[in-house]
Amino acid sequence: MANQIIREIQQAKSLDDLEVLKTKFLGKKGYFNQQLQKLKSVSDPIQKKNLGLNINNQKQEVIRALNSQIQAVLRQKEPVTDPTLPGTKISIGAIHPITRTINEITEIFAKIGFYRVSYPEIEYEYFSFDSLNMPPSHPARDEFESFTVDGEASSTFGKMVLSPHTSSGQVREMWRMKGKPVRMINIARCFRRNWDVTHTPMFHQFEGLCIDRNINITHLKGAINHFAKEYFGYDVQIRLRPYHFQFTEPSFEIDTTCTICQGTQKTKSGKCRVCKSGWLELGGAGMVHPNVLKAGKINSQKYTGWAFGFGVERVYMMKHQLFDLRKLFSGQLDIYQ
Amino acid sequence: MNIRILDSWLREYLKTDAKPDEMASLLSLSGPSVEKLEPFGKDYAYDIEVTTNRIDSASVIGIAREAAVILKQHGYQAKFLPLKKIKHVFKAKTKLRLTVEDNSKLSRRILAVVMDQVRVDRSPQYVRDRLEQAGIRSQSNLIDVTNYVMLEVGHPCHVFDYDKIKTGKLVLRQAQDKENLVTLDGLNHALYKDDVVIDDGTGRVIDLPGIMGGQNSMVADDTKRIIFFIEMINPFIIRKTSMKHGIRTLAASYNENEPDVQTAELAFNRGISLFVQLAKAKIASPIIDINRTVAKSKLISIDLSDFATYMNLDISVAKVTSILKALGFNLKAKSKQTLTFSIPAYREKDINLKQDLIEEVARIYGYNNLGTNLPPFVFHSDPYLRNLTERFNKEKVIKEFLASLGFFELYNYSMISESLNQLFATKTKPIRMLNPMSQDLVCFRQTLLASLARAAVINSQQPRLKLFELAHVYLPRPKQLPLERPTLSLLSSNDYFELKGVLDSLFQMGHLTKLISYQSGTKQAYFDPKLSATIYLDNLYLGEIGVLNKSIAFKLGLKSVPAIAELDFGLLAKYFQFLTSIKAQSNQAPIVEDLTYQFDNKNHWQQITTLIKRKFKAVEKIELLDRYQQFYTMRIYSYTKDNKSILSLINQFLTKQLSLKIKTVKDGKNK
Repeated sequence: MANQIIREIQQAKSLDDLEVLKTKFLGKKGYFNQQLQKLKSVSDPIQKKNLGLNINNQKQEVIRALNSQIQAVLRQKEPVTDPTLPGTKISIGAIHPITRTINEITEIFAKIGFYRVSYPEIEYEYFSFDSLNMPPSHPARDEFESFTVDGEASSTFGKMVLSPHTSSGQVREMWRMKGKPVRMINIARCFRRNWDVTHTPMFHQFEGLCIDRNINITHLKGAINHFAKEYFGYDVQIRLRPYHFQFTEPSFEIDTTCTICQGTQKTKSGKCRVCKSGWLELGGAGMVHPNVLKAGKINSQKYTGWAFGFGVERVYMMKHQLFDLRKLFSGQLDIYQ
Repeated sequence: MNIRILDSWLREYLKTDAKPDEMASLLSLSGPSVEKLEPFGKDYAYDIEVTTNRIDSASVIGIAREAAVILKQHGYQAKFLPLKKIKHVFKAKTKLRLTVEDNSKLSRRILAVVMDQVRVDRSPQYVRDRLEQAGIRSQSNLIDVTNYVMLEVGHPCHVFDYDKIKTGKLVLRQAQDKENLVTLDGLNHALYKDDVVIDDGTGRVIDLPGIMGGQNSMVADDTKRIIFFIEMINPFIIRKTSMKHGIRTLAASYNENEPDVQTAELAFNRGISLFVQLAKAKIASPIIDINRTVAKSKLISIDLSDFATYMNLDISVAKVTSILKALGFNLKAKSKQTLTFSIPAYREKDINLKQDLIEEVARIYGYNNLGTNLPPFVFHSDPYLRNLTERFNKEKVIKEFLASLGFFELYNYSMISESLNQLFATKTKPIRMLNPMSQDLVCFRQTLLASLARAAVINSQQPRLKLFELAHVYLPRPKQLPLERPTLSLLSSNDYFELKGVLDSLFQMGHLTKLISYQSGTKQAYFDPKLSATIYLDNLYLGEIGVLNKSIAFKLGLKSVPAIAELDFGLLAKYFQFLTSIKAQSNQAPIVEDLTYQFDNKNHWQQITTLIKRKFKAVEKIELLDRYQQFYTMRIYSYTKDNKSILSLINQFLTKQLSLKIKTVKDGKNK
């Protein structure tokens, strides 16, 4: 009988067939279990023992035959396909570069205890200008090329404008914190009347604001140095140049060494075309002007602070080349190709 | 503003051993930024950015003065060679008549003189080079002198043809309505009432002072006698007039930043010397000097500790005073810690606070020489920030989730065109730009779907388009700023149910499934009323999903009609949970049974399943197993006490209560 079973197993061509045979012979109600059931009726213990041994031996033989036939079938079935063929195509989408950059910025500043906030994009002119040491007649306001909207003006805070910079959040944050130390990163859409290869009427800024007792220029350098190294890489240096802004005193512009030529002004294809003498402008910064602290209801005799405002698109373009900024907001998907 | 000056010119006022490139980089670090340094023959040209508060340094002399201090600080030999103060006097026998009237006190200082026997010629080569390198076209020596003086000393000045004026009289006054002036460049300007003009005493306008001269009084090749003239009009008026007429001359740029009266005098005297030198001119009238300013010494006090506060540096009195003295600030008084400095005339407008003095000391000391420290760490409990941070985190995860499902994120402008706004109109009037740059950016979005639909048109050649955007919509509110509501919108060119599946899986991911309900139809006309639904989260309005209204799709030129959805992201984020409690699972296997019914156009799945769950507490969940035409098959999972089927009870309930036509019921396991 065992030979017959083994022959049957050896003729099986597929794993499915073998599974059926396995149930048929080795299953709960299979051939061997039935044989063992029959033993119950044998009364002679010696005969019972011999028969039992015999059945078991046959069963082991069948198991061996089954296993070797499984291996034989598997060998036959081994793939002959090219494993280097492309995988099945799964279409994925993409996150916008601005989101990625904002996330990076947020995380870099979170490491040094700066929290991210969000302030209005349509804002009263008081917060966008007046509170930042730019009274209505100040010519510096013209430079912002700002947009106005038809929203209802406030008797206290003036007309509604489109916030031309994230600095509009400075005094709002000072009010919110009511004298507690400030470590703010404000990231928002900003709007100005500029539209060319490197400007779009809508763009994003990130604003750092740090207010506390004994905050000084070295802390501003430290925070920006931290950002520059974490974001651009540890071979990047920063420098401060004197500058002028209405809402900071002293004021600086911050440069980083050129991310293309590493400040050498030379690239493989000749003179670096990206930077001015090895440096790239990162953006403006400075110590918060006493008049701004005053507007923020903060005692400038006790507290000092610094602020900076950099462009999100700007740092993205400094790190990754982008030939036309307008592409980012065009609605075209070719930025993802 | 930027000025471009030659190294050779600078070195007439600066004696130093520093090379041009060394000077360029040190100036940038401690003073005005040198944006470019370019060779010009054997010479070099510096392209320098001067900030608006430092008009005193927007000149060769101004840069030389700054450079001397900065270079010395960095160990170079450097000495500023100031312009010698010359007092020109009228000595000729015959006097040419010149009167200047400014009865309305429009100018804080006026300087004027007539010069005779001028020889009009080309300027010498060095003058032409210096001007042309600065971006100013060299003309006759007479005009060149005025530009040369402006660049060298830092104050604009003007030259009239004395004989063209005829009256020998200059009257400063405000313009009247309907007056005109043809300026030097030949353009005719209708004047505004608040423009300041000069007339020749007969009512004839001959000049827009501080901005541009008039054609009727300008010097030419046959000019014999000139009036050399400097006035100082209110900088706001200069700026306003220059902007309104679109005359953005270099002179206007200087004047609107309010150069000081002493620089004006220096420029005037330098100009007379140059007319004598280059045009052989002779002083032909007494010098007129109307000065309405009162010379007063401005003083500012500062504590030594203030420097330490800002620079994190113990700096000595000697160091502070030596830096400030070099810049022209003199120590006037000293008591214990407090130092009082006088402010030089050319810095009076710019220096007002002790912080201004700190800036002067810090920049010359060198920002690079100050330390670099991280701000001290602080933390305070702040529930507002906790919520905000959580929202930002959820934003990040949800965006990643959508991207991995094949959606592309877009950043669209916050504003759309009137016509697009009309197609996607809501009940409230949108906020509009008062000064739009483009007709495409006028109305503030009340739905992001307008932009996504537009993007669908732009990308219509893309098969299986899936887009999303997370941004603010702007909803007007009375007496306050508009509500800027974070909103998540999606568009898919695949079918409605696939997009609904995306939302369902998003809700599942945030453990919201049990709180979500749909109601057929939306309030917004941009959804197809036949296939759209309003979404509720915990019975609060969350958003809408549907197929884009076919007529809008047609008007936009979309060949196929996309599925769209929009959610209030703030509400979604508030309820969205990454984790939820893990409940003990029943050991009992659920009874799984299927029921197929015919949709009657009246009872929606949402209501039917809600009713079943309400009536039969044993029902754990109901899934849509299949749909064929209007036959929908639901799979019901239930746990009953005795493991008995309740399908017949459900069948009975649906038939009696809702008059639903039930097609088949069967044990789900057999499927």
